[in-house]
Amino acid sequence: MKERSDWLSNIQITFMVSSAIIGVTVLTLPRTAAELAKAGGFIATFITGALMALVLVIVALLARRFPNDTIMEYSRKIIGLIPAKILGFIFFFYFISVVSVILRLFCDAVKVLLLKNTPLEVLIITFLFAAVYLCLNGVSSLAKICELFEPLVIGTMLLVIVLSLENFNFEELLPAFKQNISQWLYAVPHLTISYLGFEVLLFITPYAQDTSKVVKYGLWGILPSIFIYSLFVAVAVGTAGVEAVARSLYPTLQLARYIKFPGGFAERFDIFFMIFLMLGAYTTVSSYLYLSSVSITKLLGLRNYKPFILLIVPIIYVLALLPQNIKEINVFSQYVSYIGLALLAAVIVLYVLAVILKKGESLENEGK
Amino acid sequence: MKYVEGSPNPKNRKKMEENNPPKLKSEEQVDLTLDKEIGKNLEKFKAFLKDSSDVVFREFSLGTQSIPCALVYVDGLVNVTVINEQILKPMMHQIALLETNLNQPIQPDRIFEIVKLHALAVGEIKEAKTLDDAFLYVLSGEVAVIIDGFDKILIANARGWPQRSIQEPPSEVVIRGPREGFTETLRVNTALLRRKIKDPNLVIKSVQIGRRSKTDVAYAYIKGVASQELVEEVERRLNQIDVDIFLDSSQIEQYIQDNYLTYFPQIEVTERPDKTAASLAEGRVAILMDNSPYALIVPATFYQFFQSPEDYYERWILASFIRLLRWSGAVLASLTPAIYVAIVSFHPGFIPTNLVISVAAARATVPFPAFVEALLMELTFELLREAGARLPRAIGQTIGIVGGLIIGDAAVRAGITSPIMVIVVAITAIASFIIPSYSAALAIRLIRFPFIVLAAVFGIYGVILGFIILNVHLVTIKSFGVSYMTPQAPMRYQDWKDFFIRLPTQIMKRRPTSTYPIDIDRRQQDPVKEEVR
Repeated sequence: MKERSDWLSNIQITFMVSSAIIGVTVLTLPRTAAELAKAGGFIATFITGALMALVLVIVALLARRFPNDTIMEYSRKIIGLIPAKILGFIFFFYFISVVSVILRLFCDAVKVLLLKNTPLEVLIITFLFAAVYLCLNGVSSLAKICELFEPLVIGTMLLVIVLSLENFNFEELLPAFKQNISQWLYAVPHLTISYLGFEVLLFITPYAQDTSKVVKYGLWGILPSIFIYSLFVAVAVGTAGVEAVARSLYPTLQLARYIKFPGGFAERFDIFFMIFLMLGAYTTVSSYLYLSSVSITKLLGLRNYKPFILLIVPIIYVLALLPQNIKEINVFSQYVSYIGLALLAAVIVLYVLAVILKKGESLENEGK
Repeated sequence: MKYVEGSPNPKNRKKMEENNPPKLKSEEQVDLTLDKEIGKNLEKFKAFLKDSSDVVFREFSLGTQSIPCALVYVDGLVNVTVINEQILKPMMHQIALLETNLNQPIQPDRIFEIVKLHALAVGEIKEAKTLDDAFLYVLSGEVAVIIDGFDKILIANARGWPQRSIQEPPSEVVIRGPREGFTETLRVNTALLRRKIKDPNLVIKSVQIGRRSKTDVAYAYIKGVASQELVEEVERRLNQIDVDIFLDSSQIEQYIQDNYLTYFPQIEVTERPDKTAASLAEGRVAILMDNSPYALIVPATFYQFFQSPEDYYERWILASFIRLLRWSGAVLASLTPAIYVAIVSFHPGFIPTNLVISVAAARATVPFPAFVEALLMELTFELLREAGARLPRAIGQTIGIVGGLIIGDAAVRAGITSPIMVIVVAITAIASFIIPSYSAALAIRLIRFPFIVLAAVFGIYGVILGFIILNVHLVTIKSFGVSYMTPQAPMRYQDWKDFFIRLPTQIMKRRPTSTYPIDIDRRQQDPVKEEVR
């Protein structure tokens, strides 16, 4: 029977973008924001989100110009074979690094919060193989899982924010309005890693049912993260104060811990939050695992990406265990986000080149 | 059998014939074409059926010219009154009377038509041109009328066998709503459907499955509503079945389901005609089988197993509340023991301190870890349930009392288990019975064992990991091309009106989109439309 449901619908595009973005970084985001932009962290987060939404539009426009290809194929049409291969390899390296960083960040948090005596290696392997199982089932299953989990993740995050308002003190945020713009902008490059994830658009557009609406529905995907991130930073700073947030390991979990479970049914809201965050981390890891296997497959000019999922698993495992302590993880993740930024810049350049060289499909239906 | 059908694969047939040639004696091998002479025809019948004591051969002569005739039927499958009054009497007396009145004998070559048009006073008359057809009719309860001089046989419908009357379906009891259920007779079941939908677009097509059982299988759909692709797919899958005998529609289910490696039901099974009719109106296809009181409904999605016909008969707020209760029942039934094990063994800090103290106090005398305790009690419960299910109702209740009350109480007093574990098991049990579909409830009940194991190894992390893997498995399942988790994944917000909650009937003006119906609007019924969009 014809599988009508295997194309990605518009809503699925939104959910995939959204779940690739929202993930583990929410754990540490308030710390970075508070460290660099002090009380104005939430404004800096919002600005970063707005800038990233702009970048997303460009990424989506580029993807829309080539509705039948992934970036691995059309970059060759724009800049030629050798540069495209180099770009493709950087993409692949970036993706596996992101999987490793996210895995490591998440499993560290799980170990600290839930399973103190379980070896980190076991956590990484089990979580990785759960992601492998999903990726082996193809992109439509990935989209469906995003649809299933993302409402739960976003719902829990909103719940944490709403319940935290009880402890919220607006005065902590007031110094933000005395700051100048340069301080906010200074934090922007460090905050971008939280918003990375919409690169999925470069790879899933060929599977979309309606390619012309990729821009619109991609934008819908980044909106929840902008608001949730900004609110998280604002509420975390407003609850605990700038200094406490900047020194806390996982300020978001700290925030959740202050919450009294309504009705006194359960004591630790942070565990409850962690449970649902695990779903968010899972969708992010799976998305990037899918992207890395697809990118290496296309790089080698092959079709079936599934064997590569299993081939790259050992690399990811080793990369995830490479940093020795939390400091090294932070350095690692910082470098990864720099690569990500560089790649986004490259994508923007690609788009400009494509427009100048008139490659790809003309955009008569622009504005739709 | 005297007539051996070979394997359809010519390669195999040749091999089979070489290895073991047909074991029948040469004089018993029968040519399946019909003869003009009644004696030879009867011989052919008798070659197959003479050893069976329930087959009746009645030879008699017709009219004044004494044309030899014979009836062949299976005693017990036919209505003897009909045979005596409507078949034998007209043929033996009234033809002769007619000839005497007209004063001229009927020409022998017209006798077949005359009998068919003037003598047999039964509603349904067919002609059989081959012995194979005749056998099928006779063995399904019709009467073969053989007349000398013709190489065809008249088949008169005189079916009538003992059958269960229409009763309230025991597996799907509703408090409000119709109480009739399907029976084992296909015709009764299709009649029940027709009584619900008097639309000429309701199509009930039949196929025969089973090389030896020749079971009638009917599939019903509403033309112009059910998607053409779906109907064709059902047809294709039914025709692919190649098996010797069929006893229940659940066997068809096992042949036509998409994925036989999962234990989640991918086809809905119901005993209720009203539920079947409602599914047809949603653009699904129902498969009915002779000898089975269960109708299969395809395609099925996961959420459908949480719906009961009563949801639509009760007012919407109450129905929505009950439906939410079922969803929470499913979560409780699958996760409660696992979460108990995880909290007790890994994260006692998750629950309030007072509760931790009382749990610890209750568990102080228990010699086993929580994992063993949970596994022990859940297995005991499964034992009790399975023992009670197969017993007569009166004894089944005794099992319930002995098992539930006495063993539970004694186990706590003996210090084998804690009272809290007994509560957990009881909650699991009750929650699992709230799910209307038996097969879905079974699947959800069994899933808790892997969850307990995961909770024992990884605590709450393991439970969530299990939840993730379960969901990945669920989204990969498809039922006749429809994703199992529709309308949640892929998201179809139009269908959410009848999902977690049921909105007022006035709002549900459209059919669910998940079945890709041709006519999406419930209100305007188009005339017959074969064309697909």
